[in-house]
Amino acid sequence: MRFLHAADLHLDSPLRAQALKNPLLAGALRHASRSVLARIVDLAIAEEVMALLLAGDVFDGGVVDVTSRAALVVELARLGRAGIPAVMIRGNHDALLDLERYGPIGPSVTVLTAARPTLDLPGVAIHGIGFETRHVQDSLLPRYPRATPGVVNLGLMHTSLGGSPDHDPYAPCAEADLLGHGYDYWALGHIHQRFERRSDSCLAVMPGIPQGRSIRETAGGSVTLVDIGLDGIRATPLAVDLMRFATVTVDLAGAGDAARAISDALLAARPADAALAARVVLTGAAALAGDRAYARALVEQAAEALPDVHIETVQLCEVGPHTAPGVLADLAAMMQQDAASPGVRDEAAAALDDWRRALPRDVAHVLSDAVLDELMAEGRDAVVHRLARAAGRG
Amino acid sequence: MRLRRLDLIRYGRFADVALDFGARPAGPDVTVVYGPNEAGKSTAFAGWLDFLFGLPKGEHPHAFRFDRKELMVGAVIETQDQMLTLRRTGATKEPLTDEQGRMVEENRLTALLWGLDRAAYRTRFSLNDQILRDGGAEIAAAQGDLGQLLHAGTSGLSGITAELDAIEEEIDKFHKKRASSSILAKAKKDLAEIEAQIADARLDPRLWDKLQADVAAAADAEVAARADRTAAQQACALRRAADGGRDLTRRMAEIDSALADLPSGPTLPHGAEARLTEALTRRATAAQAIAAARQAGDAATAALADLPADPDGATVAALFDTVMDATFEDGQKLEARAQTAAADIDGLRGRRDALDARIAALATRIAGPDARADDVSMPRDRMARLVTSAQAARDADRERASLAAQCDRMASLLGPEPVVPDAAPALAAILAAADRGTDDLAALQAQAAVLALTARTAALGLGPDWATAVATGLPPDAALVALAVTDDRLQQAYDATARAWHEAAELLASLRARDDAMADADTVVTDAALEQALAARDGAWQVHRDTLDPVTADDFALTLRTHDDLRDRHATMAEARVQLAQRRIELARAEATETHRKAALDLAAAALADGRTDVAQMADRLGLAPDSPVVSLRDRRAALLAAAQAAEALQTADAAVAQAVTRQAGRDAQLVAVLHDLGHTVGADRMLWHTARRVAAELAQSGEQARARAAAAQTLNGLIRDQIEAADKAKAANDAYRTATTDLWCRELSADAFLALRGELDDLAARTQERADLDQRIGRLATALDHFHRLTAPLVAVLALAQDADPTAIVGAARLRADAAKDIDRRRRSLEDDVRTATAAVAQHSATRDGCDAVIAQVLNGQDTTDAPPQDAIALLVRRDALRASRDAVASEQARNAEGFDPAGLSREIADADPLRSGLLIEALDLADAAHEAAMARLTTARLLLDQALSRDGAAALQQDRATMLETLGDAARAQATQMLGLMIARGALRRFRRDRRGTLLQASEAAFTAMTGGEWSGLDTQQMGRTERLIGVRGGHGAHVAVDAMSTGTRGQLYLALRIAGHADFIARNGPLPFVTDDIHETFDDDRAQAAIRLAGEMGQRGQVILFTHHRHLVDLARDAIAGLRVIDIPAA
Repeated sequence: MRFLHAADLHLDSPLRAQALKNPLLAGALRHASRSVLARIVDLAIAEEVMALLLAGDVFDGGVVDVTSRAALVVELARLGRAGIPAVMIRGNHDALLDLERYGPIGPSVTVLTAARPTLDLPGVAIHGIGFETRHVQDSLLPRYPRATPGVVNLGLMHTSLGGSPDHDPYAPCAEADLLGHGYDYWALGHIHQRFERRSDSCLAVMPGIPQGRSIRETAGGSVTLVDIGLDGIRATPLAVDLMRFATVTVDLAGAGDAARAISDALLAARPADAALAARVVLTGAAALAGDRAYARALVEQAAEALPDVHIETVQLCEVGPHTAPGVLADLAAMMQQDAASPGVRDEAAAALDDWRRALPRDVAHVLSDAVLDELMAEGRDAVVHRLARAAGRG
Repeated sequence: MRLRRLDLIRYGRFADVALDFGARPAGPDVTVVYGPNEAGKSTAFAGWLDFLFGLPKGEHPHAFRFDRKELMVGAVIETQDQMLTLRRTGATKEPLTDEQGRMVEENRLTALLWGLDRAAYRTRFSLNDQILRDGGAEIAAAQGDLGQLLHAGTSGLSGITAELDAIEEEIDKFHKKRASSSILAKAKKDLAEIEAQIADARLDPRLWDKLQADVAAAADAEVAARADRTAAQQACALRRAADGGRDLTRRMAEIDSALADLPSGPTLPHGAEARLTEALTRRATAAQAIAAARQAGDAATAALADLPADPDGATVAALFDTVMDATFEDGQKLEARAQTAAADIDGLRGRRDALDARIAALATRIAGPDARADDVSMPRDRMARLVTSAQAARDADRERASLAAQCDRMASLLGPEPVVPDAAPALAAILAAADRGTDDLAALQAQAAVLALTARTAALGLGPDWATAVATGLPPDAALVALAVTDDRLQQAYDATARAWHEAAELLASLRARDDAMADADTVVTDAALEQALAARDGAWQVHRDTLDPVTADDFALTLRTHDDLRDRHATMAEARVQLAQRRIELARAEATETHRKAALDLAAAALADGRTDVAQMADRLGLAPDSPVVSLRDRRAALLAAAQAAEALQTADAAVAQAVTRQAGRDAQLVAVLHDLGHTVGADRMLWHTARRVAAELAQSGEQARARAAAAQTLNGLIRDQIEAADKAKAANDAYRTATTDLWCRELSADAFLALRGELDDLAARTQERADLDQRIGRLATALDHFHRLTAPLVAVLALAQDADPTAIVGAARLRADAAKDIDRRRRSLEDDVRTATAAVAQHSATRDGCDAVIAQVLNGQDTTDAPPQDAIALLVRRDALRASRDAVASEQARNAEGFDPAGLSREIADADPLRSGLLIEALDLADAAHEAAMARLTTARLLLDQALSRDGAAALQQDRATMLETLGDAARAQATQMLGLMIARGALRRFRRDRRGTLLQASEAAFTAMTGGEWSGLDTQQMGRTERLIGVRGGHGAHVAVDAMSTGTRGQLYLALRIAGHADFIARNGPLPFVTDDIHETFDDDRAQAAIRLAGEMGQRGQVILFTHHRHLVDLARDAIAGLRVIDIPAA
């Protein structure tokens, strides 16, 4: 028997990419998450799976744009017409979402809850308990039904497991307890990076987010095809994303043709079946030091001829300014001393706070206090580079 | 670092010339190097710089006596802990060596220079007159910025504050408090706008609820309208039913009236009329049939009495049928077989006798005169086995004979065994290795020639020192791209600035031209002119009143007219005065704009020139002329790279040719040795390989012959083995044949002889078989005749025929008699059948007639039609029953009409015969229909709106746009905030830097400047200008402040020297000693200032080494006077 397992679709949650300033690309990815959902349904039909398992966070919030919900219903109805049921639970993002509020969701869709935690299909029992509040602090595992004897038991759970640095702790659960609960397969959700945990008798898979939404989500892009046969359980990731985010580091030291080196690196990083949105980090780029605009132009020129490759940001990895002894070097040294002084740090923190308040709330985090030191160091080096460049001209 | 000795080994006009600066003296470490004009003073000065930083690329100005590659300059350098003797050449590899020519790492020197490159050292601590002039001009050009001045004075860098201002401007463009046009403010407006659009586009639950409520309300309204319409429809239906009911009641009364005139009785069952009509018809037909049957029976009885029966004929017919039905043992009719046998049997017996004679003759021919045919002939399968055995024996004999012949032939062909020398394989191996080898010397040499041509072509136009440029490292392509971008940016900035200045200049010129033109027009009377005329008039009046003479009267009159005239014109020129004032304002503005743009143009030109200097330096590094366009740099780099690659390819090819030549010599030597072993004496000349291949061909032919003979011998041995085996097989086959013929007539015959008789034996076997078949046929014919006669014996007796009568005669007589008897019998049976048939028909038709009577009686039973004939009675009854059916139909329709209606209501409606009521009810129904249509439309619209809302894209696309906008904004905010913080730190550090450094540096510069100018300039000061300061010279005892750009060129140069002296002191205090070198910088100084400058050099000599090159003897004398223990070196004559 075969299942398709996905999670964290975050339907209609936007991509956060500067590459989308390109109107053509923006048009192509305008409904990226809906397109990915359609790909998932196509895949489920093509692979003739027994059911589609959606392990939470199908939506990005508890109060949805009802058209998003309609889009989900349309796709799952298409799946239902192919004879494939969809089984889902609610996650922390869509915990408060009442799908039934906006009309029937279709006979082929089952939302597992604490009141109805099990769906029986021929030879399979699918268990799941969705979130009913946004914050679930305790493990949900003790509330899950015991495994049904004589059939394959699958579990859907939205959980942070033992914890993940980039994700809030929700419904934490020890991996050993999970694998020892008696189920054959755990279809997990919540953490956007794919991984598998296995014991002798059980496999648990976190499939990751099917479509990464920003440069901070570079490890998703797939759903998991689950095959359960006499030889055990096999989980195969299948790519469904339209655009993949990646950080591409290019060492320009010794590179005769910088544009060519960048182009080659981007080409190597481009996935076969999706576009690439790249954060390009240039190292060894002494000639570009401090000239971010030129560096960006150089990278964009290198990427221009590559189909499906788009540039998010360009970073120059500089090891600090190197200036000849003299006034500028002395000034740079003084800047370094000043930057470490409490007074300057307080002044910088206050200035940063002003700027943060001036920014729209959604992007204020880019100037958080946590990055103060980083910003000061970058700013100090950038200014010294500019002064050195200006001095070089003069 | 201190220069102990400068060795001009091969440099300029010098050969092995050393300038020895000696050990560091106890007093000031100052050396004057003197040489008259053209003595090589500047050459020595340049040699020192080349020693420190390497020989410049390209053409070298001092490579006239010696080629550039031969130039060599050396020095003995004192460091804190050792003495270094080094040599510098123009070689691309290992240009820096020790005294013995061993390579020395460059960092040995660069570490002593504290990171100063050639340009920095040249402009800071290695000065000539040109540098002083340029430096002074630089200070003057750096208007109003002390930080910049001091910066320029100490390191040659400039523009820190301008760059920081530029950064601040960029930051302000992104975000500035209360600025409404900043990028951030605009982005926030855009975000607010898109968020409003999102609110409109998204289908939020509240809107969904409203749409859903609209649908529900519309559905309720539709239900109510539908109910109203149904009620109206029911009222109309009731009215229609009432109208119908009245009509049906009238029709029923009419039917009842008609029924009263018809017979009573039960309603006829279904089909009664048809049954009665049919019964009447059948009864008439039956009566006619009874009469006809009785007539036919009487005629048949009479004919039977006229035809008697024939019993003997019947017997013959029976016997004849038996004979004709009888069959023979093979299934065929006996009668036919008997007739055929009687005709054929005698002919067959004759053929059997002739065949017996032929068989006897064949047996005699095969086995001899006494042979019996039965002995010679044998069964077919035995004959086949015997033939097979004989053939096997014959074939085995033939195989044995064939192999024996082959052995004899092969043995006769085998000749003597040839001899192959032992060294032959070695020769073959050498030649094979040569054939396999990839060394095609000619091809390699040709390839090398092509590559040499390619390398020369690639190096064409690159100059002789291109390889040096490559060896010292080519700049990265990105650097050249950056240079081109910068140059383009500077050029564009310059062009834009120039256009702006030209526009301003043209505007100014046009305004001035306009003013000039206006000056020729009527003079405008100004207020001042009018007042002046009035004052003149009053003055004249005063004079005239005092004197009252004609002259003053005329004067007064003149001034009076003048004033009147001016007053009149003044009154009419108010607008002209306003225009004049406006023109002056415009002119002033245009002049200011032109001045401002000219200054900007100068700055842009300076920036472009600076950029071009970078380009020129890069061009020099790439071996191009300094004025080469920047676009040519990348091409030059590519050309250098291509030339280097071509040279490398050529080097590789040459090495390959050399290796191939070596390998060829080795193979020649091997070949000579092997040929010698084979008995051929040859030398390693061009015939060697020809001879070797000829010998190898001969040896190969001998080897081939030896291999062929060995193969033939092996084949012969095989044939002998086959021959022995064939003899064994032949003996076995002959023994088997003998065993098979032991008891036969042919036991004495060989296999070949037996097989020779095979034709006769086959003929004998065929004839023997043919006789047996014939004998069998004759037997069967006799048996058939016998059976026939036995069967026909009774028939022959009845018919009174002869006992041996021919079968054909018997059959013919019997057939005639039997046919006659059968005809009589058939005719009698037919007549008897006719009698029986007539009797049965009478009985049958009588029964039919009686049945019809019963049906007629049954149909009319109970009907009041006693007196009427049945045909008439049934017509009345049918009409009556039709009326009764119509009445029932009307009653049913009436019931259906009332169905679904309240009977009382229907009755009331029937009773209401108002003719207008139906129209009113239809009108009410139309209204209800319209109301329902409207409700349906509303419901459809509400559902459509909901469906449309659900099928919309929602706000996802706008959310996407918003996210992109935020992402871009966040990235820009981060970048600009980073700059903002960097700027904040830089400004703070710069303030501190100025505060810390200005004091000592300014004081040191001031002391040097004051000393150098002999007190004419008493000091230096700074003046605040906004956020910056400018340097001011304080002149003389009364302390006049003079800006640097107001100083003379010479004074500015001395100020620059003062700053350098202060900077040198600061540098060596921080980093350690470094020679301070000047080349005739005092020649523009007057003697006082030159002496003062030399004294300063003496003071500097207390801290570190100072070297003064000069060609002025009097300066040497001045120096001797000023500095105790001065060392003077005369440059030796060439």
